[in-house]
Amino acid sequence: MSLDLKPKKWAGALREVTLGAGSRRPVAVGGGNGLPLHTFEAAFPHRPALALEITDVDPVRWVESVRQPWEGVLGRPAEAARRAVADFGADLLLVHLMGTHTDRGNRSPEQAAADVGAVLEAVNVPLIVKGPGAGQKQNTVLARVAEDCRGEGLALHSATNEDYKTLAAVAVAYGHALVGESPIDVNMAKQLNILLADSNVDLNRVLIDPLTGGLGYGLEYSYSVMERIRLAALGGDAMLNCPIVCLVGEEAWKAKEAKVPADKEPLWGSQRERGIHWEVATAMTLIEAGAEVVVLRHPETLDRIRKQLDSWFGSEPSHDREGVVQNSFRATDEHR
Amino acid sequence: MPSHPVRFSPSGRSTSVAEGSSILRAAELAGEPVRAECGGRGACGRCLVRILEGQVPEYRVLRRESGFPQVLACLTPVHGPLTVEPLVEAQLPKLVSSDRYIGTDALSAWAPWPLELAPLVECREPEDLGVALDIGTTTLRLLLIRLSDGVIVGEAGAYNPQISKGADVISRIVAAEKGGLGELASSIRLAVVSMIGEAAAGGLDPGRIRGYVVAGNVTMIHLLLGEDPSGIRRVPSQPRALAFRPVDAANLGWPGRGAPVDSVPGAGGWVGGDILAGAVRAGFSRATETALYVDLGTNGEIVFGNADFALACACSAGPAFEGGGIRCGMRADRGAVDGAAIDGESGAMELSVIGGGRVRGLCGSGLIALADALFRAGWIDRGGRLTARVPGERRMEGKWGGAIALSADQRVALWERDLASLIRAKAAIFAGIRSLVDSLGPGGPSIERAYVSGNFGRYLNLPAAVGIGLLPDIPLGRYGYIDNGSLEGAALSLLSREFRDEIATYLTRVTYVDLADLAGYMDEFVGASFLPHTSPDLLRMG
Repeated sequence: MSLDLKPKKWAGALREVTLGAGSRRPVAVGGGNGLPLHTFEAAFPHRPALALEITDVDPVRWVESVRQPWEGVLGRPAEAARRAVADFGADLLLVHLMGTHTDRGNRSPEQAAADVGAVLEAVNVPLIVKGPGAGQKQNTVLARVAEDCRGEGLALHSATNEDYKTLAAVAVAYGHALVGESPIDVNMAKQLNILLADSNVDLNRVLIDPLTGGLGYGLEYSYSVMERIRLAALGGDAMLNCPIVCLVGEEAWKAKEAKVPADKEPLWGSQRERGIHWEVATAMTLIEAGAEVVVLRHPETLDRIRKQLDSWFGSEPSHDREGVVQNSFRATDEHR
Repeated sequence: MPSHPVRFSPSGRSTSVAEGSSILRAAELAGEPVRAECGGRGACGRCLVRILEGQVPEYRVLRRESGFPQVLACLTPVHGPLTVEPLVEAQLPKLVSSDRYIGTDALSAWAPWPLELAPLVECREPEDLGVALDIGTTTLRLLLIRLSDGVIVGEAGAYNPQISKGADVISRIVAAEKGGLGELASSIRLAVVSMIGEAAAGGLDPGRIRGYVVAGNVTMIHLLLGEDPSGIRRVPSQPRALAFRPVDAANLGWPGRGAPVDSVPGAGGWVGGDILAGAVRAGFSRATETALYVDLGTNGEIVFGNADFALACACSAGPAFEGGGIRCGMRADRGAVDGAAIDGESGAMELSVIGGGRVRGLCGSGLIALADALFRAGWIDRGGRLTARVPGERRMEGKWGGAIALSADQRVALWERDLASLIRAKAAIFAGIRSLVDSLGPGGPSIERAYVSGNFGRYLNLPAAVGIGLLPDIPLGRYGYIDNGSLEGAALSLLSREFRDEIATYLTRVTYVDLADLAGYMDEFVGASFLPHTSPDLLRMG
């Protein structure tokens, strides 16, 4: 007796969001019409994009094994960006303006805009720009960055249910995309998208950040919420069908299991290897749950994930200098 | 242990308390009305006082004005002589007795099926009286009824005096557990005595009262009868009893020699006689159509069923529907905004005010109508926050976010925080309804009739309640309004033994659904915490 698996056809598909414009080499994400990695029954025009996180000031809390590959460029965003793209092969970057936080240096909106401008000069990949965290300062910082970098198609991180109006307005005014962040809840993710749509934001320019946890810190809950977001999207819910971005590095390297040195926990083995495993395991799980963009900290993690994606999607993405990254993959006849 | 004198100003009341007692305790002993809606946990801020003379610990001082420290009475110990001035108006406004019911023939007005006058207690003289009483967590209502013909001859309303021990059921139970049961019982009994006096003021003789029927939630009945309520808040809920034997009015200090006080039985710790009386009053026990009954109180109670079965649940909505927890909230009384319309073109807002005249505040039904109008006009977004469409002259900013001025002097305003309270309250109710109806599974009965009860009087704006997603979007013609199902059910029980027996029979068909046990309730709640709903198609229910 043979088992005949019928391909599942869904009513809806993901929106395709293009990050980067102007002087950027754009990267498109999303657009798939099936569950994540179900390449045997659905078409995925783009494979998940891999981003690295760089910072405006020295991220003193990063553990040594994460700092090591960035040695000499920490706190120098333009140089870090060059290394991330040229040496580590990031598809795009997340520029974390942590130094604008009032408790972490309180850098001015002008300094922040200059930092982002320097990164734009240094590389031509799209940027996600993350502010210091929700509040008045974030709004002034990101508004200034958005204005000074108009037309570059940045993704501003992040609008929240409590505070979205300023960022919605500047994203629309200066032609940027927006990341909407909601606390691991399918309804709140949808509410935020409705609020953004009501504020005239084109949802084809919105990414969902469902605020995921790291491995061991609620990852299974993140997984199930992301799965529900994706099922709703495929079921035809036009308010939940934006691609998902996950800030993996930030969460994975928070874990004690990733950070504790080997001399404190000899049975756990090398901290560097353990930490990278932790980041890889978190990122792969979230890609399986539906992340279209994962933001990583360790270049070794990016490398390993890239290899895994190659094995699934068949080929190295070819970076077409003129147009959108050609990393498409469609189910072949053989797969069907 | 030394004790210290504490004097209250300007009332002049004074007492002395043991070293280390709280100022709130001193207020209780002195008879000074200080509210502590949170039950004295330092959460509600209603017991704020100013220290005019004496020393208080510096770490308790919240702020100083003109050199006088301000502290929370509940958290601040007395270590020496003090003179204290309460800062928050503690006297609850008196409930207006609108004489709404006087002259009503209760049986013909409220009986869900033809009932014969056959009082629960013997009626010997034509002027013999009975009392129907609804004990709510927030409000009390009482009817004096002539037993010989079932006509209402007197009525009274009051706030539940236990509010000083906490605004909700749980904080009352906690207060009882801390040794306050005797005080809670005597305060409610005394309040009823004064309501009887008020209701009888037109020349009626309370000595002629032959019997009482009381409906209330299970906790209120426990507290009235002086029974330990602590088992109610445990899981699973274990009240001392769901049905109590009638007690003699004299034991409660109530008038009427030998008059029995009958309490309507409950079906579970969170499904009291109030909701059962209301459901049977709505005709559930004989209904072929499946109906929904929603009591919009501080504790929202919902019944879904018909003659054969009923599911009931309770959800904590908070006091927003009764004007509580709203900065300019008030009862549905003269001066309360009870409706609103916004002209889409000109952006002009028109408010309707109970009794006309000056705007004094917002009642629950006004809050619902206003939120609906603001949402439709785009002045607030779906999360309940102000948008740029609010005209400049109405926009206010404060520590608690933005507000829309409702009076020219800006003293009455609707704050974003009030809208957040309303959205939470309506989400709790709607999620309860949805969870209850959905718990019967796909293909289960739909809502063929719906009854809404609550302290809205005649003012609930149904289209607005549906518009903000408080009530399901079913044809409006299926909705009926029951003014006070609990009180009306108590009156019918008093006048008709058949009705009272029917409640006792029907309660065996009622299944209590604990929303905390339903995996989907929290999801439903978050989904409903939006205007009108995160997925508006879920509002349509049959």
